[in-house]
Amino acid sequence: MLIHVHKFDWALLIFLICILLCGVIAIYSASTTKIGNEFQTENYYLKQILWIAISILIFLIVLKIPYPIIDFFTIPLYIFSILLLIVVLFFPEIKGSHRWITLGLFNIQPSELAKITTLLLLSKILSKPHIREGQILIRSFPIVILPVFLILLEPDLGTSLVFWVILFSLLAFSRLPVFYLILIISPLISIITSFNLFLFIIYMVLLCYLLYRMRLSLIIVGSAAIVNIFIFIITPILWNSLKIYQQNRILSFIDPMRDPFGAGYQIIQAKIAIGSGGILGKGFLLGTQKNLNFLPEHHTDFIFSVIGEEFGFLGCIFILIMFFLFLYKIARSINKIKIKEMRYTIVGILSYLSFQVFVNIGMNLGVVPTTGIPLPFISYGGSNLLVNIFAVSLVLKYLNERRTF
Amino acid sequence: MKIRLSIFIILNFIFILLWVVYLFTIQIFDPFNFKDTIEIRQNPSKKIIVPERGNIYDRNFELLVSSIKYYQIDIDKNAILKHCERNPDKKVSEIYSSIVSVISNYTDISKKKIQQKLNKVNGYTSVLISDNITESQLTKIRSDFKEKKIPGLVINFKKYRRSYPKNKFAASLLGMVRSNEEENNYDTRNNFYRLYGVCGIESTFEKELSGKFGWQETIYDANNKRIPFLFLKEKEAQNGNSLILTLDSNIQEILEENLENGLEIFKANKAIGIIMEPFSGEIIAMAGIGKEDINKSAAILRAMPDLATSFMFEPGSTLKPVTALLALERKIYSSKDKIDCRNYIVEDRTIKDSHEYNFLSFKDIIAYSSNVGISKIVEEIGSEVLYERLIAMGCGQKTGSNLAGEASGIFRKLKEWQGYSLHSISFGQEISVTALQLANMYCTFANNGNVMQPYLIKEIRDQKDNIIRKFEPKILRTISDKNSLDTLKVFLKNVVDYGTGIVTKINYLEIAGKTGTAEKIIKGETTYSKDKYTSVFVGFFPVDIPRYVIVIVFDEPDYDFHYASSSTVPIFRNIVKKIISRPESDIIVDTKQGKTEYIQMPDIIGKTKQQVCEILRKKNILYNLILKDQDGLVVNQYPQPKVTFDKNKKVIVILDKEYDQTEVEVLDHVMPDLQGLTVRKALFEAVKKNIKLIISGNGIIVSQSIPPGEKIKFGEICRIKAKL
Repeated sequence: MLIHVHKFDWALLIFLICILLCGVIAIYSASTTKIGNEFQTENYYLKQILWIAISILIFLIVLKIPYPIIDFFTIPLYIFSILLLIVVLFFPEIKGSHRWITLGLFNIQPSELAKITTLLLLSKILSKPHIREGQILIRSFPIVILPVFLILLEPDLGTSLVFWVILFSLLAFSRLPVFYLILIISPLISIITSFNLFLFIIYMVLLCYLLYRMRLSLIIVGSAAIVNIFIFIITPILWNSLKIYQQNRILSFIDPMRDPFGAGYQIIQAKIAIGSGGILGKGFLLGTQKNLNFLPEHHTDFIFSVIGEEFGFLGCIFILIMFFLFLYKIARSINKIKIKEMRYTIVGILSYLSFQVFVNIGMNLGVVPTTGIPLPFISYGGSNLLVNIFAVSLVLKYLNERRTF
Repeated sequence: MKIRLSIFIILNFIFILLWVVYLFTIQIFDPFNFKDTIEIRQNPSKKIIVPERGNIYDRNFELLVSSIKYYQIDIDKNAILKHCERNPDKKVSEIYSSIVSVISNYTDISKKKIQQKLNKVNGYTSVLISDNITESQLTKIRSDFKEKKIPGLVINFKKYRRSYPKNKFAASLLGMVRSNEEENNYDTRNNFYRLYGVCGIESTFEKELSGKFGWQETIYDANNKRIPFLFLKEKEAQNGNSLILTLDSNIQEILEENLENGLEIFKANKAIGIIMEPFSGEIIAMAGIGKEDINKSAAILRAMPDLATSFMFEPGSTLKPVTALLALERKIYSSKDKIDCRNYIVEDRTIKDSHEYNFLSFKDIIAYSSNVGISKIVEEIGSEVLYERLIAMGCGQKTGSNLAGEASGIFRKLKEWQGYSLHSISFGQEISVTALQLANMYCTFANNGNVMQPYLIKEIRDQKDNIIRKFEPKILRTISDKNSLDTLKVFLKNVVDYGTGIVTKINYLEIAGKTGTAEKIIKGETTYSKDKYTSVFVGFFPVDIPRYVIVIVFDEPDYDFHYASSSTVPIFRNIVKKIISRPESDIIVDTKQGKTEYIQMPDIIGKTKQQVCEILRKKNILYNLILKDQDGLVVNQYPQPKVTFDKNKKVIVILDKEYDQTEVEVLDHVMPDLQGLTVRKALFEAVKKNIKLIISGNGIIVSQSIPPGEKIKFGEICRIKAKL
């Protein structure tokens, strides 16, 4: 039997199907333009259905493959995805970056594949028995840095962020003490606070106090302080050495409203679309902002604003609740599984899916900078959908094959 | 682990809650007023459609002025880049090169220039290629772009330009246009592109020609592409109406050519001519050129005032018939009454004639243009009557032709008349008229006393060729009676038959007219100049039912030609002859119908030139001598001796040294090659060979029905086609 009726998480599957259906409807609407009384539909929704059909096949295959085989293929798959990331750099630019490998009929985005393979490799390494804290850091960092570096070359900032999220969440769930996590984030915070001396001093005092309370040696506390002070000093110098337009680019990435016709344009338009939706929305296919093409990328990254415009507040709430239940279901499944490697894998999947959901919706709401992260299961995009469903089918497989006591 | 997991779930929940709260605020409270924001964004804008200015045609629907639309072509580089992204198999440089080849194919912009423009790297995303593309070029370029699937072509209306197929033809009469873009204070944001007439007909009929602006509601999407919504409102631009002038371009050309010739020969300051139809008041031709205008370009000439309506001169003796007509009406004199025409002193001023006469009959006073005689007649009439009659005939007022820049002439009020004003005015001094006024006065003489309103516009048609307005002949008032006018016509005919205008005489045509040689007042002085004259001739023909009234004026001709009979009259005669000899002219047919006279051809072979002239002149036969040798004898004649023929036709006589029949045969029975000649030259050529030409089209001859080199018969008909 492929499916163990009692162990299989039917609810998770139903939530997934629900979200996929919403996605197809949203893509159908997003790719339809209503002009007068005429409708013109592009075939994105058909392609999406095709991708869903392919991913069902993958789902079945994943269920069928024995776990050891997946475990065995982790390293070769990781190497393969790194190779693809190198190959993609030699493909022609599309929209200013080398993200896709063009294969005639369809395009492949190797960074999506790298996400899951890196995750699998990380969870394999972290789950090794008797591994020391220092070794965790030394082994896991290079595994993430390699694909992140290659993806930044493309360049694709949004996807590379996902890797850091995966790493950080896995580290958080490993036996690593909390202060290591604080140490990892501390340089980032000191960059932010370096623009205000007062803030920085408060931050430094807090940091030292926290580290001291962790009962660490003074050497570590001291070196952490020195590194942070060094960053504090170097950041303004680096900042001032940048050209004004480069500064502007960074500033408008953080605050898109600075540049309403450039970086902020998409966000403002998305916000207008969602805001004009009201409680019930303008109705299926009737979104004016979408029809007039004011919404950019409305079938991929900004699909949530199409939902917001046409189905209003209730539609948005429905999607959010579905996502929450879906993610909650995955989170609850972690404790049901006893094998460490599987648990790490599920934690990684959970964290990156939730990161993508929140960042994408935040982007649509104009709260988070535009990073090019799609909404999982809803945005149009083959590679993304395949990898996400592959990830969920891993979760389902682990649950299906778990040992019950 | 469990704690961290629950922290994670709680974090998730908080995030979801955060987004929900945020969504709730922006969708339900709508603090940024997004609902109104979209209203503003979708507010349609208006695109202005520029109407096309109407055309101007002559009475035979020959195009005189038309508008040409020019477009601006830009290449949108962004669109090309996007296109290349979507189709990775295409390269930007390939698309560029195909653009270059397409555009340079249909325009005269060099490939290098386009390539340079495309390769320029700067902030602009679209590159201006040319703003001088005509409609026909555009359709070709557009279809090529479509065929080869090249993206990025942006087309915009740029300008209208007036095109004048006949170049200098009636330049100052037609006038010129300007676009408001040419002006310095042009502001694209506040003004729409517009052409407006500055002078001439273009300005007089500005309202009819200009048309009305149209508009179109447009909605643009975010990529600045127009969205073709169905419910958008639209108002079509109403193109300007076409004017059909009363002008006959053939006659106008004849007039202009002759005036220009005259101006050069007589070294005059100005040459003005008007040809009118007396019964309708239609202006058939109207021209005026100044000495300094001859070499000016057509564009400058178009901006010049039209001399025929704006230049004022003293009409001189041409005003005498007015007095004569009054005398005839009142039956003060009969035409044979003798009047003492010796020098005559009125209030210390001697009225003189250029040749002194003793006694002249009334009709001869007009025929020989005696100042003394006419002043004596006018004394009998009185100033009030003369004043009223001149006012009735339009002196001192605009004629109502409604042409821009028309002058009203100078005619003093009766109470301002001085001692001998009456006498002066009777022979055309102390009064100034325009050529148009003078022509209109003679129209009144010619058409049995109706003062017509001269007009230049026959019809106004809209763009679909429907007649919107038709101008009918309008009689302003009627003067005099038929008997007196008929007598006056005879008087005027006598001027041509044996009087001062005898040079005009054309044997087969009855012409009436009056010469006028007016001394000019020098600026700043009170006396008349002794060497500066205005020479005028007004005539109409045929006398029975006049078809045309022609006024020819030369301002300050060289002293050798200061008499009207030596300057204006020959020009008048040339014009009349050319008008009659036009292929489409029906005047000569009119005169022929009653007058076809068959006579026998005398035998003149072997006679000398002088003998031939004598014989033929005695028999009143018109002839063309072809002199191959000045002292030669007649070797051949057409028609042959003792053949009866129409007397109105010309006879051809060939004189040569030796009697060489064969050579002559070859030469004169052979059809000349007319191809490549202008119509006028071909006519000239045909007259030489006595071939009848039937012409279709105008311009340069492209084909002839009898191929060159073939034998022809006397008076054979040859059809020729001409094209511009």
